[in-house]
Amino acid sequence: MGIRLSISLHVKSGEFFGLIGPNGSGKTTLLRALSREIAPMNGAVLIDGKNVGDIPVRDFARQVTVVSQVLPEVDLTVEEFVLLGRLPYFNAMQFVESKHDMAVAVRCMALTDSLRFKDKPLDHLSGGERQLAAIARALAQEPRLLLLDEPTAHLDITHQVAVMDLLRKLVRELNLTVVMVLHDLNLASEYCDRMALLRAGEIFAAGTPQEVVDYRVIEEVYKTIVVVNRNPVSGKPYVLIVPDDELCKSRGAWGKAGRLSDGA
Amino acid sequence: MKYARWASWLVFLILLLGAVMVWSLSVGASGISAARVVRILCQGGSPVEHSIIFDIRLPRIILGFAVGGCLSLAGVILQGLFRNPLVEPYTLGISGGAALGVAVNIVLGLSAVGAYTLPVCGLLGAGGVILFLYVSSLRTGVVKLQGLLLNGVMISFISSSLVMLLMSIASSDSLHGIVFWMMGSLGGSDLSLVHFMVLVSLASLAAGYFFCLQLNALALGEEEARHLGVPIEQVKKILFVFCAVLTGFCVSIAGMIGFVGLVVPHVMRKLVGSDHRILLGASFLAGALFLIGSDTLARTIIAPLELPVGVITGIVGGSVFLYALAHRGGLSHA
Repeated sequence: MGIRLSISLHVKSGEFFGLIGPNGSGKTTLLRALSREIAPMNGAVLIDGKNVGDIPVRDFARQVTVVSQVLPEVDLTVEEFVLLGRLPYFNAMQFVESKHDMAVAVRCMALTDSLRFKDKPLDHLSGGERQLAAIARALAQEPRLLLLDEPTAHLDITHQVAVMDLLRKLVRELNLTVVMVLHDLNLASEYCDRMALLRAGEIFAAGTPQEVVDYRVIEEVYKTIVVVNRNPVSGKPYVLIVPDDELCKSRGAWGKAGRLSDGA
Repeated sequence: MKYARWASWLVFLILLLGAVMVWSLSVGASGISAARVVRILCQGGSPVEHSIIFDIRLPRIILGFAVGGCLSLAGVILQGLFRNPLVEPYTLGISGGAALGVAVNIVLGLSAVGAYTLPVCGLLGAGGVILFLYVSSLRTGVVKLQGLLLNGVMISFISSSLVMLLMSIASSDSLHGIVFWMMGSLGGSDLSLVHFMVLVSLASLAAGYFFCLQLNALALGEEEARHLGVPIEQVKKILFVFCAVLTGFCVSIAGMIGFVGLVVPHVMRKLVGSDHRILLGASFLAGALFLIGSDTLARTIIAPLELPVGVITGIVGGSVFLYALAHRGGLSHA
């Protein structure tokens, strides 16, 4: 892949943490390091102080789980797919799901509102429904840390909000820690407790959305003019893009009014 | 509900297998009715009948059970591993190596030393290929499955070219021997070899079941399987070597019987689903009865001449495959 990361990051337990940054900044690479797909050349990824490289494969699967961007194409029903998430809990001679496994799977599908299509084959689902099923499967592993790589990338706003609301609810109710790669700055700003903005393999800024989503920071990293306002409902910062012809048109009038990040 | 369906499939296949075996025992140059067959099996009969059943037909059938079962098992596992429905045990190049070993044996006339040398040479040839594939593709940390496949296909080509070379310089007797071996046959095998293959086949089925859940996870893709806690590099290596060795045994004893490992898993996947917990057993049984049935046809259809069993499996297997392709609108995802 060809990107070199130099990162020092601390995510608190029970936090909804966002990773944002331009294309190629290393967000996905960082996530893959967290999920143990790649090993760091220097330093280590620690969970509760323990190096993830030292944790056995199955134990790791019970603590950390990943919801990928690309969902697999298999001829399984949603329920069978979610039950696969119980695999890390099967003991050596077990071939059949236990009652407890079934109960956990049902609970996860109920949490993600996917119980209603549990007998449908995966490839008959819409994009949003498949994302919910994927989250249900990840939850069936009963992890403490949930890693997601742009889960809302191909979804309409209905499903985007549904997924993000669900994740926030899971963080609050199950004390789950979520680390999520997001392209959408506004979605990240709205839902994340804290975020890290990556640029060229390094953390350019980290902190609360108010600290990170600042017009100076965004313009510096994304190299494009933006205006940052406050969401009138939630108070979180949101980013407005400025098309080139608007910029040329109102070059003069803009100088003072449009730029704000401190005060309405 | 699901488990009841699986159980009924297994019962059905076992009964069908029994029926095919009895049919096969009753059919032949000297026909013995099925009822008589059952009586002979239980109580014994005239020495002639006893000889026909126990010395001639039963060993073939038992070998067909073992080889058919093993080839299908290897086929299911490989299709699950490579997530490619066109993969079968012979794609790996192992049969090519075995054919080369056998060709060398025949041309050098080594069977004069003993009948055992033929399967042993086949096994050595297969083993050589496995070793090469292991060293070139498996030994390194990450197993690249596509590279393995390509290596296997290339080895197949090279081996068949070398075999043709040997055939071109061989005497006509040797040539006939090589060609006949390559066409595959369940007959004429030493009884101890037959017993050995049965043990191997049953042990392999049991061993395969240890991996059925991991194969289910692997169907989601390697990354997903890793996220589910499957040690995929280890599993890939173990399963590949397992299938390779199994294929080596089958080919060394019975020659090249193609299509069993390709068609049977594919058809069973459509019938019982992709869950390996049922697929392994169902494919094993279906492969066994398919091969026994094909062999029975092969030795009766142009009686008193015998067709090589590979002809029947190829024609029937290939036709079934084409039919499945045409009617279900595409290959199933492995």
